[in-house]
Amino acid sequence: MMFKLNQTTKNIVIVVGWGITLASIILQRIYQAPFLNAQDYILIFIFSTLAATILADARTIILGWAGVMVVSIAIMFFCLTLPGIGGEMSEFILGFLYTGAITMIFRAIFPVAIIVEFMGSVVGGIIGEVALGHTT
Amino acid sequence: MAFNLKRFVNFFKLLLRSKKGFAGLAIIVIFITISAAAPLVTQYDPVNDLYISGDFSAPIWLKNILGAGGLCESITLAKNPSLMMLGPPEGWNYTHGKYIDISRNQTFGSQAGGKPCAQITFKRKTGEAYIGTSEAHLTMTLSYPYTGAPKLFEGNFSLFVKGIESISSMQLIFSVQSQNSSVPLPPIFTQKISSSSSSWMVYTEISSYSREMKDRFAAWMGWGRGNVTVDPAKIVFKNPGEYTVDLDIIFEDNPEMSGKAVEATVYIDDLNFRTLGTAHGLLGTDQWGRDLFSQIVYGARISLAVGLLSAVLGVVIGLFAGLIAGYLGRFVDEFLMRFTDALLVLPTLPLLLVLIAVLGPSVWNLILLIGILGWMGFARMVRAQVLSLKERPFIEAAHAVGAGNFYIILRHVLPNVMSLAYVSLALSVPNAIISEAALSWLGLFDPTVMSWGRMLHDAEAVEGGIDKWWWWAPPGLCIALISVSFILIGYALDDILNPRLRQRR
Repeated sequence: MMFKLNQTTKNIVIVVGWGITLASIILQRIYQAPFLNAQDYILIFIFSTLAATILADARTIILGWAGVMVVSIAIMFFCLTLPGIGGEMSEFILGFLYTGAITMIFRAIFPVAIIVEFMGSVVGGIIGEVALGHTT
Repeated sequence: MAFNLKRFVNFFKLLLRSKKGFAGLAIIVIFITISAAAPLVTQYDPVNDLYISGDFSAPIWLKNILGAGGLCESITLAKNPSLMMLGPPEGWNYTHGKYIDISRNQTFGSQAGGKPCAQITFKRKTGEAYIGTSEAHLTMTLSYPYTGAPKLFEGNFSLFVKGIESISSMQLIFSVQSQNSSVPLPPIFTQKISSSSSSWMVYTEISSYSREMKDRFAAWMGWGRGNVTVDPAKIVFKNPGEYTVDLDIIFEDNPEMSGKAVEATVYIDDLNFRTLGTAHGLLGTDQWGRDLFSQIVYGARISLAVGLLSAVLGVVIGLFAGLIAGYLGRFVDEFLMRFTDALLVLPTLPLLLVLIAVLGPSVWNLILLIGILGWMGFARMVRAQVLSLKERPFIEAAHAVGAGNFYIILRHVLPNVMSLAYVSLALSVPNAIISEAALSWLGLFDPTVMSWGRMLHDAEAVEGGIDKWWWWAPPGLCIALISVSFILIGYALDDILNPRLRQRR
């Protein structure tokens, strides 16, 4: 049986997928080193361009870009604080864990990753318009 | 292409015709030239070249033009390997006692394969009798022309002793003595070696700031040990005139080895000795003896880079945010404008302080953060312009023939708001430069580079720095001058690009 998704649901799926990809790229780097490198930024740019090309509509892309930030930050925070959610920890350790997670996420995404993602979105939007002929 | 070039040339001519534009461009060209040619303008590294003169040295023109008394320049007496080239023309002369031979060793020492080192050998053959002590003297004459004493004197050398077990001891004495004074001064360095081991090596540093030397001079003056007010530099270089630098090596023969063959050798390498003056260069030195003129020259690079790149980043972000918010409208507009409002109400400097503290004070972080926190006002301006533009017939026509949003924004709307971007860019640069200077002044500077704000911070943070106006006035003036130059260009661009102002002219 084939599922037929409407446009809004498709857009949400794309944005969630985009967010998961972004979170994965950043998380794998956070687990290895504190800062993202050029390879990570290139990956973020490519995936953002790809997602925006599929979304194509300028409004959806801009709102999607904001949505992706929320989704990816939520995923990263969840993964980084997983030991605190699953295990028995004192208030002090939990506080330390949460603060550390927030600091690591902030350092990883601000400001270059956000800018690269935005640039990728805009480029993807232009490609979507030109290649897919999508207009609103 | 040719048309665009012609348009740019005409635009540039218009800018040059404006008095404000010409003045602003002239100042910027001067600063860009100086910063680009920094390695040619100055030979010193502004951060890493420490103690090229005494700390807190005054500018040299204070002495030469204003005739400030008591100031002196640095003098390098010996710079490796001048000692190794014994005899003229380097000026090192030598005399020696019995059984001593002085020569140059081509292969020994840290400069092996390069410059030779000095080799002093005490050699007594079988059958020759014990002689007590025998000395070698290496001397050089130093002309010290200044009435004021240097800030300090310092030096270093490497010493390698071989065969010391066959004699009683070897003593090395390093002294500087005025030829006009009959009162002998204490040596500035002494080292006695009476080791049982066959070889002995040491790298020695001499400084008139050292506790050991201050104690030796305090004892010579009849004061107690630990007297920090004693300044050996002032005692040694009291008056202008000729000075003798003396390096004595005294071998004490071993009576038990009388009649037997004895051989002890001393190698001296890497000898440096210099006085650090109280006047240096165009602007003097800072608390670490670093050249302030170099700091100004290299600081221009940082200020210009931070100012221009931050402004470009801020304008690009503001341009896109304004274009997208204005053209797409509805919830995209709401979302972007409320986000802009949220950033606008946050005080910029405290926010910058926090962000720099989290991300680290590197130049790139400064550029990114100043740029990212400097786009909001421009975005609102662009949005207002776009709201007006999007109702124009040519936009509706483009939309009617099927052009996409991004296409219309980039092809039709963007060119019509670019004049705003040019003016805003010119007016944003001073803000970025001043933000960088403010952060550096508050101590959040990149420690690997020198900026004008960091110079102001150093002058303010160091005790007595505020009294040295030649330290803080030039960077302050440079910041003001370059800010004014960009503002002048901004006004000139506004005159050219704003139709209402253009009509008034």
